[in-house]
Amino acid sequence: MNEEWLHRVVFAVLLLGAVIFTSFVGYEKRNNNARDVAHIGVMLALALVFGVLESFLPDFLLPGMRIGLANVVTLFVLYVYGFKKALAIALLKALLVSMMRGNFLSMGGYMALTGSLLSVLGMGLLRVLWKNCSVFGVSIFGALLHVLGQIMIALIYLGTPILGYLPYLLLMAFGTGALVGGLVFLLQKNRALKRYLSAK
Amino acid sequence: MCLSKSLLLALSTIALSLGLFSCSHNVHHSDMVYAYGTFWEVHLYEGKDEDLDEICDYIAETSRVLDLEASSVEDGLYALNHLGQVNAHPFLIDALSLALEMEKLTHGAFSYTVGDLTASWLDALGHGVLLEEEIVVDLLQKSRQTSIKIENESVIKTGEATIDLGALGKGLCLKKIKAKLDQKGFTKYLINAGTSSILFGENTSKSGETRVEIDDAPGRYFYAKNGALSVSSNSRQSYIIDEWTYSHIIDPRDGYPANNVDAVLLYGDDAAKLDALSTAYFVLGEEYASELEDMGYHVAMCKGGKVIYESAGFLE
Amino acid sequence: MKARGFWSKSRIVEACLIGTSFLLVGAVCLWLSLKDKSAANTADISLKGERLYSLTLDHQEEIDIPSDHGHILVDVDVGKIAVKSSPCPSQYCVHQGYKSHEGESIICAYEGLSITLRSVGGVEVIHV
Repeated sequence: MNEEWLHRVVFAVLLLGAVIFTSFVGYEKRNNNARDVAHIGVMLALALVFGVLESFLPDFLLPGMRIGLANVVTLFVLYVYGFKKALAIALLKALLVSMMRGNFLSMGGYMALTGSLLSVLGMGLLRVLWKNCSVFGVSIFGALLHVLGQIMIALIYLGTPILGYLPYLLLMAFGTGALVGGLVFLLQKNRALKRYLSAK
Repeated sequence: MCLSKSLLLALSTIALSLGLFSCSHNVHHSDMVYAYGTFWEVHLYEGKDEDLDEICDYIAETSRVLDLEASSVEDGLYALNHLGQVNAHPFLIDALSLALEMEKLTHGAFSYTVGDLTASWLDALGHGVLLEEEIVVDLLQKSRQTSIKIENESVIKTGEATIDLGALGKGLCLKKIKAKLDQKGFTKYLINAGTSSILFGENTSKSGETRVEIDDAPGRYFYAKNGALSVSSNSRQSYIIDEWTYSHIIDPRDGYPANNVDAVLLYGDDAAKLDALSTAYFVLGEEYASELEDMGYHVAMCKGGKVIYESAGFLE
Repeated sequence: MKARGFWSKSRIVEACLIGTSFLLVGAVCLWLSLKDKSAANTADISLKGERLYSLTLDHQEEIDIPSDHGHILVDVDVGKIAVKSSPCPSQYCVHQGYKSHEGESIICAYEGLSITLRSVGGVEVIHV
């Protein structure tokens, strides 16, 4: 199978999967009212805005290596609306931002996708296995997994030399993870926001 | 209880980090130096960076002593050639002493006064012509009339020709380096001076041997360990005019480029002598090759892509 | 309501774990930056995972590599190598300058170019 067809298949699978998944996400235990759906829409838009804004910043080492402000949204959704919705936000954001940036079916796009996927799965799992873990811990863990996911894809495209950068990127992930965690922590503390979200 | 677990984890992290820091197997210091008109590759498989630096500095220093154009070196070859008398650098004294010894040993096939003749030939050949006979005769005469006398630290030169020690400089430098390495107790190294003079210690492979493949005789090779190799070869530098190959090595006996063989390889323990001898016996040719074996060295001579003379058990 | 506020036992454990893993990664980074770097004499140039060249760094040469978005110019010199120009937007690979030590690499992720330096040694084969 030549590369172009491979890309088309991947695109189709992703699109189909995204459509099915996000509609499936709707069927959740939590009382799924129109308000929540609207909120999620706004969250996604917010994540996209952050993602696009960050994409204007110059690449650091590898395409797609960012501070990850959009992850504030993903993490917030994870805590407030649950795992499935957070996963939907993360994947859709990765797909749409890469489409907007123009690196959709290329290394940068795959890196964002794998990183986001691994990150959200890991954070969701951590929340289940260690209920008392603080938002900082979850965020840092998510950031580390995000870097690992991105490096995995970079490894396929660029070979083993990229592993030389891994320790430094992981070190950075501690910082960005703590930052994102801190921001979500502040959001959680915000009384006005809490009141708004819990109102029916 | 959780606290003690975390403490244990922290301690093991510190221990691991310390372990990583002190890890030192697979030591390999290497560097490149431009000296004696070529690039040297210096590999040291033990010791520290400072040891490598010391060797590289020594190579650079001695190179300047023998540099024919180093006008700033007051006790070097430039000064001797231009002033006629100089309080010479110890390395220069050793080089000149060796040159005198080699001249006697090689039936006059080695000379340290053919620098001008060599330069003129290379210039002519580079332009695709042969050097005119009058010039050859003139330069040869000047070369024969030039000599040096060493009195303690002072060297006096008589005659007009330029003293050129390029034929043994690298080898002598390698010999001195070996003495330094022996003093420090180092046995694992490899110093390659432009592939024409190589000092072998042990390398990091199991056997410690380095495989040396001979480009002048494809398919032939030998294993080197704890020895010195000197190569004089047309493949380095030669000129083809009217289908005749002219080498860059001039026969001091008649003033013309040597033409007996394409390459001479000498392997033994004395890098300095080997360097001079490989040049001299390139001039002398196959006829005299057995003399080298009598001196205790392994020799191989190549012509036309094949080995035409080799010591028993030397090559494979 | 948490009796101790933010710093419960679980939080302390969490902080210790994060702290030790941070120290571990930091130690690895420190070790990588401080370890003895020996000179490289060979460079492997790959584009999108495919090895294009394996050169000895003993001469001066400029290599033109056609890539997806243009041409990448690689400058080979004695003992060192650098990316002179590249069509990538970040120019990170160009800014890295000359690399000359074993184990170092220059990567242009946008174009998929990867240059790795190594030392062929303990020199096991020599050609004379």
